[in-house]
Amino acid sequence: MVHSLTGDLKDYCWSTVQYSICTTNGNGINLTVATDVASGSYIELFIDEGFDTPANTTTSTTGFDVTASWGGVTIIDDLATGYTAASKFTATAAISGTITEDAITITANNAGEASDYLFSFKSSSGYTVGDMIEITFPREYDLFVGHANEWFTEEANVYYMDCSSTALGASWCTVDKRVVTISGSVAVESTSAIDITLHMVKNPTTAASR
Amino acid sequence: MTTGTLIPEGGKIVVALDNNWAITAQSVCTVTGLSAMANGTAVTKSAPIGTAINLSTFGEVASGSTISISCTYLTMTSGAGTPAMVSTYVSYDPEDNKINKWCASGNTVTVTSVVVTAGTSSDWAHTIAPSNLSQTGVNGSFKFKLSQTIPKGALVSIVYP
Repeated sequence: MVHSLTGDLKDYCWSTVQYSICTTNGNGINLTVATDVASGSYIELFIDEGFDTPANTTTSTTGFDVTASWGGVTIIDDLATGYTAASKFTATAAISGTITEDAITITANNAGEASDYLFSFKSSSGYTVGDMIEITFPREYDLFVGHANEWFTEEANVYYMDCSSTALGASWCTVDKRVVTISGSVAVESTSAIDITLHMVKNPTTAASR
Repeated sequence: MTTGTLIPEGGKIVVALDNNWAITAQSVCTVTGLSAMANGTAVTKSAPIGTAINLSTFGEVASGSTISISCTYLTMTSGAGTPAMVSTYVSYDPEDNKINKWCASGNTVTVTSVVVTAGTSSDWAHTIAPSNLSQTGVNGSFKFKLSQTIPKGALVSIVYP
Protein backbone atom coordinates (compact mmCIF):
# COMPACT_ATOMS: atom_id res chain seq x y z
CA MET A 1 0.00 0.00 0.00
CA VAL A 2 1.42 3.37 -0.91
CA HIS A 3 0.60 6.95 -0.16
CA SER A 4 -1.15 8.87 -2.90
CA LEU A 5 -0.66 12.32 -1.36
CA THR A 6 2.42 14.46 -0.97
CA GLY A 7 3.58 17.21 1.36
CA ASP A 8 1.34 18.88 3.89
CA LEU A 9 -1.75 16.77 4.70
CA LYS A 10 -3.51 19.27 6.95
CA ASP A 11 -6.60 19.23 4.74
CA TYR A 12 -6.63 15.43 4.51
CA CYS A 13 -5.69 14.35 8.00
CA TRP A 14 -7.90 14.05 11.05
CA SER A 15 -6.92 12.68 14.40
CA THR A 16 -8.50 12.02 17.75
CA VAL A 17 -5.38 13.65 19.17
CA GLN A 18 -4.77 17.32 18.53
CA TYR A 19 -1.84 17.74 16.15
CA SER A 20 0.21 20.63 14.81
CA ILE A 21 1.68 19.06 11.67
CA CYS A 22 0.62 16.14 9.48
CA THR A 23 2.80 15.38 6.48
CA THR A 24 3.76 12.44 4.32
CA ASN A 25 6.96 10.53 4.91
CA GLY A 26 7.01 8.69 1.62
CA ASN A 27 5.24 5.52 2.58
CA GLY A 28 3.28 6.77 5.53
CA ILE A 29 2.68 9.89 7.55
CA ASN A 30 4.36 12.00 10.20
CA LEU A 31 2.21 13.50 12.88
CA THR A 32 3.45 16.04 15.42
CA VAL A 33 1.14 15.89 18.39
CA ALA A 34 0.12 19.15 20.04
CA THR A 35 -0.76 17.66 23.38
CA ASP A 36 0.50 15.00 25.74
CA VAL A 37 -0.89 11.55 24.92
CA ALA A 38 -0.98 9.27 27.93
CA SER A 39 0.23 5.71 28.01
CA GLY A 40 -2.64 3.31 27.41
CA SER A 41 -4.63 5.77 25.33
CA TYR A 42 -5.41 5.43 21.64
CA ILE A 43 -4.54 7.51 18.62
CA GLU A 44 -6.94 7.27 15.73
CA LEU A 45 -6.14 8.81 12.38
CA PHE A 46 -8.32 9.36 9.34
CA ILE A 47 -6.64 10.04 6.02
CA ASP A 48 -8.76 11.34 3.18
CA GLU A 49 -7.79 10.14 -0.32
CA GLY A 50 -4.50 8.97 1.09
CA PHE A 51 -4.07 5.40 -0.04
CA ASP A 52 -3.37 3.47 -3.22
CA THR A 53 -4.11 -0.21 -2.77
CA PRO A 54 -1.84 -2.90 -4.23
CA ALA A 55 -2.60 -4.72 -7.48
CA ASN A 56 -3.07 -8.11 -5.84
CA THR A 57 -4.89 -9.68 -2.93
CA THR A 58 -1.79 -10.99 -1.19
CA THR A 59 -1.68 -10.15 2.50
CA SER A 60 1.17 -7.76 3.25
CA THR A 61 4.18 -9.34 4.91
CA THR A 62 4.54 -6.37 7.23
CA GLY A 63 2.03 -4.34 9.17
CA PHE A 64 1.71 -0.72 10.14
CA ASP A 65 4.85 0.42 11.94
CA VAL A 66 4.82 3.19 14.51
CA THR A 67 7.70 5.16 15.92
CA ALA A 68 7.43 8.14 18.23
CA SER A 69 10.24 10.35 19.43
CA TRP A 70 10.65 13.56 21.34
CA GLY A 71 13.81 15.59 21.73
CA GLY A 72 15.81 12.85 20.09
CA VAL A 73 14.52 10.23 22.52
CA THR A 74 12.69 7.26 20.99
CA ILE A 75 9.52 6.55 22.94
CA ILE A 76 7.65 4.13 20.69
CA ASP A 77 9.46 1.84 18.30
CA ASP A 78 7.51 -1.07 16.87
CA LEU A 79 9.47 -4.21 16.30
CA ALA A 80 9.80 -5.22 12.66
CA THR A 81 8.39 -8.63 13.50
CA GLY A 82 5.28 -10.13 15.00
CA TYR A 83 2.74 -8.04 13.14
CA THR A 84 -0.84 -8.83 14.04
CA ALA A 85 -3.39 -9.59 11.36
CA ALA A 86 -5.14 -6.35 12.26
CA SER A 87 -1.97 -4.47 11.43
CA LYS A 88 -1.53 -6.08 8.02
CA PHE A 89 -3.47 -5.24 4.90
CA THR A 90 -5.13 -7.47 2.34
CA ALA A 91 -6.78 -5.98 -0.69
CA THR A 92 -10.07 -7.51 -1.73
CA ALA A 93 -10.97 -8.63 -5.23
CA ALA A 94 -11.22 -6.17 -8.06
CA ILE A 95 -14.42 -4.27 -8.54
CA SER A 96 -16.32 -6.13 -11.23
CA GLY A 97 -19.55 -4.20 -11.39
CA THR A 98 -20.29 -1.02 -13.30
CA ILE A 99 -22.50 1.99 -12.89
CA THR A 100 -24.39 3.16 -15.95
CA GLU A 101 -26.95 5.77 -16.86
CA ASP A 102 -25.81 7.88 -13.94
CA ALA A 103 -27.17 11.38 -13.54
CA ILE A 104 -27.39 14.09 -10.89
CA THR A 105 -30.22 16.59 -10.59
CA ILE A 106 -29.74 19.54 -8.26
CA THR A 107 -32.89 21.49 -7.53
CA ALA A 108 -31.04 24.73 -6.76
CA ASN A 109 -27.49 25.09 -7.94
CA ASN A 110 -26.77 28.59 -6.68
CA ALA A 111 -23.51 28.87 -4.77
CA GLY A 112 -24.01 28.35 -1.06
CA GLU A 113 -27.64 27.32 -1.44
CA ALA A 114 -29.04 24.25 0.31
CA SER A 115 -30.58 21.94 -2.24
CA ASP A 116 -31.90 18.45 -2.84
CA TYR A 117 -29.52 16.26 -4.83
CA LEU A 118 -31.10 13.47 -6.86
CA PHE A 119 -28.70 10.71 -7.92
CA SER A 120 -29.94 8.10 -10.36
CA PHE A 121 -28.04 5.19 -11.88
CA LYS A 122 -28.14 1.53 -12.75
CA SER A 123 -25.84 -0.98 -11.09
CA SER A 124 -24.74 -4.05 -13.05
CA SER A 125 -25.13 -6.06 -9.86
CA GLY A 126 -28.41 -4.49 -8.83
CA TYR A 127 -29.06 -3.81 -5.15
CA THR A 128 -29.53 -6.44 -2.46
CA VAL A 129 -30.88 -5.47 0.94
CA GLY A 130 -27.88 -5.21 3.21
CA ASP A 131 -25.67 -3.65 0.54
CA MET A 132 -24.28 -0.19 1.16
CA ILE A 133 -24.11 2.50 -1.50
CA GLU A 134 -21.47 5.19 -1.00
CA ILE A 135 -21.50 8.63 -2.58
CA THR A 136 -18.35 10.68 -2.07
CA PHE A 137 -18.71 14.43 -2.41
CA PRO A 138 -15.94 16.66 -3.78
CA ARG A 139 -13.70 18.44 -1.29
CA GLU A 140 -15.51 21.76 -1.80
CA TYR A 141 -18.49 20.43 0.13
CA ASP A 142 -18.96 20.46 3.89
CA LEU A 143 -17.39 17.57 5.75
CA PHE A 144 -20.83 16.57 7.02
CA VAL A 145 -23.08 17.34 4.09
CA GLY A 146 -26.82 17.72 4.41
CA HIS A 147 -27.18 19.04 7.97
CA ALA A 148 -26.01 15.67 9.23
CA ASN A 149 -26.25 15.15 12.95
CA GLU A 150 -26.51 12.45 15.58
CA TRP A 151 -30.07 11.19 15.50
CA PHE A 152 -29.81 8.51 18.15
CA THR A 153 -28.20 8.77 21.55
CA GLU A 154 -27.43 5.06 21.32
CA GLU A 155 -25.27 5.69 18.26
CA ALA A 156 -22.60 8.13 19.28
CA ASN A 157 -20.58 9.64 16.44
CA VAL A 158 -22.96 8.29 13.79
CA TYR A 159 -24.28 11.18 11.74
CA TYR A 160 -27.50 10.81 9.77
CA MET A 161 -28.85 13.03 7.05
CA ASP A 162 -32.30 13.24 5.55
CA CYS A 163 -32.64 11.18 2.37
CA SER A 164 -35.23 9.25 0.37
CA SER A 165 -35.48 6.76 -2.46
CA THR A 166 -38.37 5.40 -4.48
CA ALA A 167 -36.49 2.34 -5.67
CA LEU A 168 -34.81 1.46 -2.37
CA GLY A 169 -37.86 2.09 -0.20
CA ALA A 170 -37.23 3.24 3.36
CA SER A 171 -33.59 4.29 3.40
CA TRP A 172 -31.01 5.43 5.90
CA CYS A 173 -28.16 7.75 5.04
CA THR A 174 -25.14 8.31 7.26
CA VAL A 175 -22.39 10.84 6.64
CA ASP A 176 -18.72 10.71 7.50
CA LYS A 177 -16.25 13.17 6.03
CA ARG A 178 -18.05 13.87 2.74
CA VAL A 179 -18.94 10.22 2.25
CA VAL A 180 -22.67 9.46 2.35
CA THR A 181 -23.52 5.81 2.93
CA ILE A 182 -27.01 4.72 1.91
CA SER A 183 -28.76 1.53 2.91
CA GLY A 184 -32.16 0.70 1.50
CA SER A 185 -34.88 -1.78 2.38
CA VAL A 186 -35.98 -2.98 -1.06
CA ALA A 187 -33.94 -4.99 -3.60
CA VAL A 188 -33.47 -3.52 -7.05
CA GLU A 189 -32.81 -5.52 -10.22
CA SER A 190 -29.83 -4.58 -12.32
CA THR A 191 -32.17 -3.54 -15.12
CA SER A 192 -33.94 -1.00 -12.94
CA ALA A 193 -32.70 2.45 -12.03
CA ILE A 194 -31.84 3.34 -8.45
CA ASP A 195 -32.76 6.83 -7.31
CA ILE A 196 -31.43 8.48 -4.18
CA THR A 197 -32.34 11.98 -3.06
CA LEU A 198 -30.14 13.62 -0.48
CA HIS A 199 -31.92 16.53 1.13
CA MET A 200 -30.57 19.91 2.15
CA VAL A 201 -27.07 19.53 0.77
CA LYS A 202 -25.29 22.86 0.94
CA ASN A 203 -23.72 23.80 -2.38
CA PRO A 204 -20.11 25.01 -2.42
CA THR A 205 -19.81 28.72 -1.73
CA THR A 206 -18.14 29.56 -5.03
CA ALA A 207 -19.65 29.05 -8.46
CA ALA A 208 -17.47 26.54 -10.30
CA SER A 209 -17.80 23.11 -11.83
CA ARG A 210 -16.91 20.26 -9.44
CA MET B 1 16.88 31.92 43.68
CA THR B 2 17.32 34.70 46.18
CA THR B 3 18.71 38.03 45.10
CA GLY B 4 21.87 39.08 46.92
CA THR B 5 22.14 42.69 45.85
CA LEU B 6 19.27 44.94 44.74
CA ILE B 7 18.67 44.85 40.99
CA PRO B 8 17.59 48.29 39.76
CA GLU B 9 14.71 48.80 37.39
CA GLY B 10 15.78 48.19 33.79
CA GLY B 11 18.26 45.51 34.71
CA LYS B 12 18.22 42.00 33.39
CA ILE B 13 18.68 38.44 34.54
CA VAL B 14 20.20 35.62 32.54
CA VAL B 15 19.80 32.05 33.72
CA ALA B 16 21.93 29.56 31.81
CA LEU B 17 21.04 25.90 31.98
CA ASP B 18 23.72 23.30 32.23
CA ASN B 19 24.76 21.85 28.88
CA ASN B 20 22.96 18.63 29.78
CA TRP B 21 19.64 20.42 29.60
CA ALA B 22 17.84 22.35 26.87
CA ILE B 23 14.73 24.42 26.37
CA THR B 24 12.58 22.97 23.61
CA ALA B 25 10.03 24.38 21.20
CA GLN B 26 7.31 23.12 23.53
CA SER B 27 8.76 24.75 26.63
CA VAL B 28 6.76 27.40 28.40
CA CYS B 29 8.53 29.27 31.19
CA THR B 30 6.77 31.20 33.91
CA VAL B 31 8.41 33.59 36.33
CA THR B 32 7.32 34.77 39.74
CA GLY B 33 8.96 37.39 41.94
CA LEU B 34 9.33 40.08 39.28
CA SER B 35 7.02 43.02 38.72
CA ALA B 36 6.38 45.37 35.83
CA MET B 37 8.34 48.57 35.46
CA ALA B 38 7.01 51.77 37.00
CA ASN B 39 5.84 52.97 33.58
CA GLY B 40 3.74 49.83 33.19
CA THR B 41 6.07 47.96 30.84
CA ALA B 42 5.59 44.28 31.47
CA VAL B 43 8.37 41.86 32.27
CA THR B 44 10.03 40.57 29.10
CA LYS B 45 10.75 36.87 29.13
CA SER B 46 12.71 35.10 26.46
CA ALA B 47 13.39 31.40 26.50
CA PRO B 48 14.33 30.35 22.97
CA ILE B 49 15.34 26.81 22.10
CA GLY B 50 18.69 26.33 23.76
CA THR B 51 20.00 26.82 27.24
CA ALA B 52 19.35 30.43 28.28
CA ILE B 53 16.40 32.15 29.89
CA ASN B 54 16.51 35.94 29.64
CA LEU B 55 14.47 38.30 31.79
CA SER B 56 14.36 42.08 31.34
CA THR B 57 12.17 45.20 31.66
CA PHE B 58 11.19 44.47 35.24
CA GLY B 59 10.85 46.77 38.20
CA GLU B 60 13.38 47.12 40.98
CA VAL B 61 14.12 43.85 42.76
CA ALA B 62 15.00 44.28 46.42
CA SER B 63 17.87 42.43 48.04
CA GLY B 64 16.68 39.16 49.50
CA SER B 65 13.82 38.80 47.03
CA THR B 66 12.94 35.35 45.77
CA ILE B 67 12.63 34.82 42.03
CA SER B 68 11.27 31.54 40.73
CA ILE B 69 11.41 30.26 37.18
CA SER B 70 9.43 27.25 36.09
CA CYS B 71 9.79 25.72 32.63
CA THR B 72 7.90 22.85 31.04
CA TYR B 73 9.11 20.33 28.46
CA LEU B 74 12.81 20.69 29.13
CA THR B 75 14.93 17.95 27.70
CA MET B 76 18.06 16.39 29.09
CA THR B 77 20.23 16.04 26.04
CA SER B 78 23.01 14.04 27.61
CA GLY B 79 24.20 12.73 30.91
CA ALA B 80 22.43 10.45 33.32
CA GLY B 81 21.57 10.25 36.97
CA THR B 82 21.29 13.67 38.56
CA PRO B 83 23.14 16.20 36.40
CA ALA B 84 23.15 19.82 37.41
CA MET B 85 20.31 21.76 35.86
CA VAL B 86 21.39 25.40 36.20
CA SER B 87 24.85 26.47 35.20
CA THR B 88 24.84 30.15 36.08
CA TYR B 89 22.49 32.85 37.18
CA VAL B 90 23.63 36.41 36.51
CA SER B 91 21.83 39.67 37.06
CA TYR B 92 22.85 42.95 35.47
CA ASP B 93 22.07 46.61 36.01
CA PRO B 94 20.75 48.74 33.12
CA GLU B 95 24.34 49.43 32.02
CA ASP B 96 25.04 45.70 31.71
CA ASN B 97 27.25 45.61 34.77
CA LYS B 98 27.04 42.33 36.67
CA ILE B 99 25.35 42.59 40.04
CA ASN B 100 24.78 39.04 41.25
CA LYS B 101 26.28 35.84 40.00
CA TRP B 102 25.56 32.29 41.06
CA CYS B 103 27.38 29.26 39.75
CA ALA B 104 26.39 25.64 39.93
CA SER B 105 29.72 24.66 41.41
CA GLY B 106 29.09 23.78 45.03
CA ASN B 107 25.43 24.73 44.70
CA THR B 108 24.16 22.04 42.42
CA VAL B 109 20.52 22.01 41.46
CA THR B 110 19.82 18.44 40.52
CA VAL B 111 16.94 16.60 38.94
CA THR B 112 16.74 12.85 38.80
CA SER B 113 16.57 11.71 35.22
CA VAL B 114 14.24 9.01 33.97
CA VAL B 115 15.43 6.53 31.39
CA VAL B 116 12.75 5.92 28.78
CA THR B 117 12.53 2.42 27.40
CA ALA B 118 10.93 2.47 23.99
CA GLY B 119 7.50 0.86 23.92
CA THR B 120 5.35 -0.37 21.07
CA SER B 121 1.93 0.23 19.61
CA SER B 122 -0.78 -2.37 20.04
CA ASP B 123 -4.49 -3.08 19.52
CA TRP B 124 -4.27 -2.16 15.86
CA ALA B 125 -7.33 -1.63 13.73
CA HIS B 126 -7.66 -0.07 10.33
CA THR B 127 -10.15 0.55 7.59
CA ILE B 128 -9.41 1.18 3.92
CA ALA B 129 -12.44 2.01 1.85
CA PRO B 130 -12.80 0.78 -0.76
CA SER B 131 -10.28 -1.95 -0.08
CA ASN B 132 -10.43 -3.52 -3.54
CA LEU B 133 -7.15 -3.99 -5.35
CA SER B 134 -5.72 -1.28 -7.61
CA GLN B 135 -7.71 1.58 -6.12
CA THR B 136 -6.18 5.05 -6.01
CA GLY B 137 -6.78 7.84 -3.54
CA VAL B 138 -9.02 5.91 -1.18
CA ASN B 139 -9.90 6.94 2.35
CA GLY B 140 -8.55 5.11 5.34
CA SER B 141 -8.27 5.18 9.08
CA PHE B 142 -6.13 3.46 11.63
CA LYS B 143 -6.17 3.22 15.36
CA PHE B 144 -3.59 2.01 17.83
CA LYS B 145 -2.79 2.06 21.51
CA LEU B 146 0.32 3.55 23.09
CA SER B 147 2.39 1.76 25.69
CA GLN B 148 4.29 4.92 26.63
CA THR B 149 3.21 8.48 27.23
CA ILE B 150 4.28 10.75 24.39
CA PRO B 151 4.66 14.43 25.19
CA LYS B 152 3.40 17.43 23.31
CA GLY B 153 5.63 18.02 20.29
CA ALA B 154 6.49 14.36 19.81
CA LEU B 155 6.85 13.17 16.23
CA VAL B 156 4.75 10.11 15.50
CA SER B 157 5.66 8.31 12.27
CA ILE B 158 3.45 5.65 10.79
CA VAL B 159 4.73 3.53 7.92
CA TYR B 160 2.20 1.59 5.90
CA PRO B 161 2.57 -2.11 5.11
